[in-house]
Amino acid sequence: MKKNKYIFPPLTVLCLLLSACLPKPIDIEIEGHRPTLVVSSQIIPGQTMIVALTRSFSALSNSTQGDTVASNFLDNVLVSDALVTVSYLGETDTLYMLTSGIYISTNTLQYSYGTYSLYAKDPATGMEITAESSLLPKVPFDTVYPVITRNPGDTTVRVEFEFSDLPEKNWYAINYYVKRSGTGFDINRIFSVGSNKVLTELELLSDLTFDDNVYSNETQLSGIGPTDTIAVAIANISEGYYQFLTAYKRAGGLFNQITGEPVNYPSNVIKGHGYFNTHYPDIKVFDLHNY
Amino acid sequence: MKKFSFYFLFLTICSIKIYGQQFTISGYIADSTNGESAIGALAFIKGTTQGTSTNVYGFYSLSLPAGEYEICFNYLGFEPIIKKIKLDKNIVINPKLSPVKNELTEVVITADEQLQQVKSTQMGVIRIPIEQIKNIPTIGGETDIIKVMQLMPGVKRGGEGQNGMFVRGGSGDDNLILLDEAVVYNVSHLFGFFSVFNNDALKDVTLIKGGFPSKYGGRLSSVMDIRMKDGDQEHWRVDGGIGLLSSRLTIQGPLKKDKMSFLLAGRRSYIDKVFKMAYGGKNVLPYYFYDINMKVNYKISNKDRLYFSYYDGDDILAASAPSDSGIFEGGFKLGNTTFTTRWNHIFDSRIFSNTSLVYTKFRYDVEANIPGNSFLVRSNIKDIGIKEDVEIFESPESHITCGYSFVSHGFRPNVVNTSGEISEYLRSQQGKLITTNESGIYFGHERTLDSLFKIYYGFRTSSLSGDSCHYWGFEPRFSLNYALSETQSLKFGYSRMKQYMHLVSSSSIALPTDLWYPVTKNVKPQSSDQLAVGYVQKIKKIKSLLTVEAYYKWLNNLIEYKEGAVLLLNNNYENELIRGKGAAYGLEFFLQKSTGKFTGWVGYTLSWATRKFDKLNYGEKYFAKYDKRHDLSLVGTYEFTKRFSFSAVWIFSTGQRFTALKGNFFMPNSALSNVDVLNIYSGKNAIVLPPSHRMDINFILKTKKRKYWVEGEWNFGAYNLYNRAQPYKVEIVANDNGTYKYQAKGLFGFIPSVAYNFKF
Repeated sequence: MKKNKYIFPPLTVLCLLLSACLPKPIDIEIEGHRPTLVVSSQIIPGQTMIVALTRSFSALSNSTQGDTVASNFLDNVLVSDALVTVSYLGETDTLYMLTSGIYISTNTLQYSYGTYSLYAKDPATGMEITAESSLLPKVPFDTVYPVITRNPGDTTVRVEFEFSDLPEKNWYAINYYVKRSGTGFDINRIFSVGSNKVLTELELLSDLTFDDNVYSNETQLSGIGPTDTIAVAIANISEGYYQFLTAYKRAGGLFNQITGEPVNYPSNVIKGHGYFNTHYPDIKVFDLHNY
Repeated sequence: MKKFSFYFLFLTICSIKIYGQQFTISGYIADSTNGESAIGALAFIKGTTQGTSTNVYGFYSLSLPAGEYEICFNYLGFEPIIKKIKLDKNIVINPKLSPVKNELTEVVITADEQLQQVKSTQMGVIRIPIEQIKNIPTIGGETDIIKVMQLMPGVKRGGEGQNGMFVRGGSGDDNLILLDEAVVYNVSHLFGFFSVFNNDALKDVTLIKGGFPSKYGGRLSSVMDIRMKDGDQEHWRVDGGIGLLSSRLTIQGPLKKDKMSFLLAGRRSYIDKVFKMAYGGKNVLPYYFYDINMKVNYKISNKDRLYFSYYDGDDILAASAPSDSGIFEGGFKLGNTTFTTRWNHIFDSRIFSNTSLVYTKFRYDVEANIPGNSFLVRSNIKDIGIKEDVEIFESPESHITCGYSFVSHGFRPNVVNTSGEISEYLRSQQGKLITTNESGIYFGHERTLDSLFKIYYGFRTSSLSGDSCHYWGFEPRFSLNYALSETQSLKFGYSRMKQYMHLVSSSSIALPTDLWYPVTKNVKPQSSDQLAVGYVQKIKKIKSLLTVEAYYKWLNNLIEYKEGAVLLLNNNYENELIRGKGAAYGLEFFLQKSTGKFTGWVGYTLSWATRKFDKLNYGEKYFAKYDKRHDLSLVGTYEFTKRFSFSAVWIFSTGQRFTALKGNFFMPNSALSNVDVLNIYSGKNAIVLPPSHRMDINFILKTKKRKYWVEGEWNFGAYNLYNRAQPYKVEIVANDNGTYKYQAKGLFGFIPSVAYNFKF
């Protein structure tokens, strides 16, 4: 009986607290998202320009709330049979559709400091976008090499590099990525959220922070296997694309994912999203079993 | 020229003495039941409105020509005292007022506090008696001065249950909160759900939103000046309360009658203990908070008094749980300590000075231990300072204030100690000690020009010196009162404020990692300029005071964070900050009744608050997060009988703003190794949540009074009586038909509460 007496006060408190009800949530009406065209691009050194053209979609779509993307959803997102042109130096090239959403040109000459104007029109929705980008000169590595430390438990790789900074203000992106030994690059799984991605690091540099016109540094990579292949690519990018990639990195950061604070992506696409960028990457590939 | 200057200076200095044949009545007005000084009590000549009010120490001084007078001492809730005097020399009168026995008795007096507010040049000020605050229902039955202030016009609440105050379009860190002159940096327990202030230890709370007296500086939007009780000088007393979430006990009494008294108050939450008992000893909720307030006051002589005030409080979470690697132990501890020593000195009957030595420390520790790994992150701020305030009661028409302050701030953020594997990812660092010295000199003069006009003019010069920076600011203050009649006036005011530190927080939730940082050579001081016009009227029929004020505030050099800013353990946080500006304007309506069986107020605000930063919202102007267009509070307490009273609060406000996730798009990463889904947002703060409204009630039943027995009081309350969600968070949730929608969730629903307060 005594024991019951001691339990009674806290139980009373518990009952009072538990009698508190959770209120019914309130639905919020928000104007729906109007799809826009989304652009991404890449130049393959030589003469090839690739432009990916997709449509944005509502965050309330059931496809974005699930784990994988349904195929008919992709049909709505990937733009087919669009008119995509790139104009430069008085010339206009029409890109042809390689597959839904991917447009390619093999004739576009690549001039340093040349300005490229992109135009695209989606025949299904009538949406149009324009964008401009300058092709900045290629900045290659002066030196770049991996330094590998093989331990019983793991392998660590440090990439040391040096390159010469161009005059005036410049921005650089250095990508590191790993191709696992024995694995292919599965194009069918590229759109699956949650699939095993190739490990990458993205380093962004602004020469405003450089002390010298020759910049050297090293980057530690982790989770590398002793027989993997790593690739290091440096590109001289525009300030706008640098801001875009900075936002991209911040939005993916752990702290931001916890707090969920919004990060907006700058864009040079008029009436659209994404980024039309033209830059030359200098890529060096290292098979680690040779080191 | 030199001779002229000398004579001018001589006449100016002697003006106090040569101002007719004047003598001074001065002294301290106090409560007869406990000896507590009465702040804002009135001393005036009966049949006139010629008089003065007591300062924050209860001191008054009234200089008049020689003659015979009837002087009246009056204070809200107390019986006035009228004394006949023959003024032919300086005299000291220390009246002790007794509480009103019969509220229905009409006492004909010509001056009261409401008329004082009509005649005052002070604008944007709110004072609520502590006794009135105690009856107002709040969450869990825990009375909270900050939650009460959030019911005032011009003061916006943060998220549900949060202690954030957003005053006239300002930010949460724009508010200067003083406890007996010491700055309190963190005013919240439990992530903002409760304040650190124990009402039993408090005597007076004043909130100033505009028309700032030149004595105050250092923050842009508001000053909350909180005064602790001195300690009962007449009798030993014990007060306390037992509530659902916390309990408190206060002991006070005279150590030496009429010479020295003390007060000791403590409060502790015990929800951790309740859950532990209920769950058979398992530490299910290992969190608690506590506060300790202590005050000693010593009357050295008729001219000198000493006060020692101390506060200490902490939030403590200490959790442990089994894991694969062993027992995990972790938690945090954050809190404040303040200590103030003050010396009042009366130079002569018209010059009163207070010298304060102040010490404040705010600290937080976050730690975790698991066999083989441990980390501790520690941050603190330490202030040591001195302030001098002088009041010159020249005449009933002229009141001068002047003084200075000097505070040395020591900021030490992000001290990290790690050991084990984790130290490879999180390295130990000593953290950088940043020291700044902030000082200010001020002057203010309130002068009655004639029967119609009264002005206040003054200035404050402030400065801050740091490692590699030095700033200073000139802050003019001005206000004007034009008497339309005995009971109505128009007011106009202007003030400039500067702020030399800011709260670094990238999240909308109050986190222990929110840190204060000083300005640097790269981060300049913020400033505000505020214009206000107002109308005040005492409505005699309903014994109420009506205040209508309109304001416009310019905000410059505001600080915000880059999108995606990482501030946790980031010593280069300056790189994450951006500067911009803002504006806030609005209209406030306040009708307050403080006496009688029914007391309460109606507060309504119509306001806008905007911001503009080049690097946010694509450089376009946007609304501040707590830009709530309409805000209405109805607060009332009715005393049915001496033993039974009822309080209710009903609030309504337009929803706060948020930035909605509207769309997505696919984008390959820069290495083309994968495709990510990126977000598209609405304009910053472009979406308004649904309006929120709720009702809280409280029944108060006092036990019968018996001789030599405890006086008790039961409080039965309910928060959110009709269980309406107060939106604090937005989520995307599934519909029944497989689609998705936005939904705003509330944190608390209907919460009943029971509390028992006692005193003996």
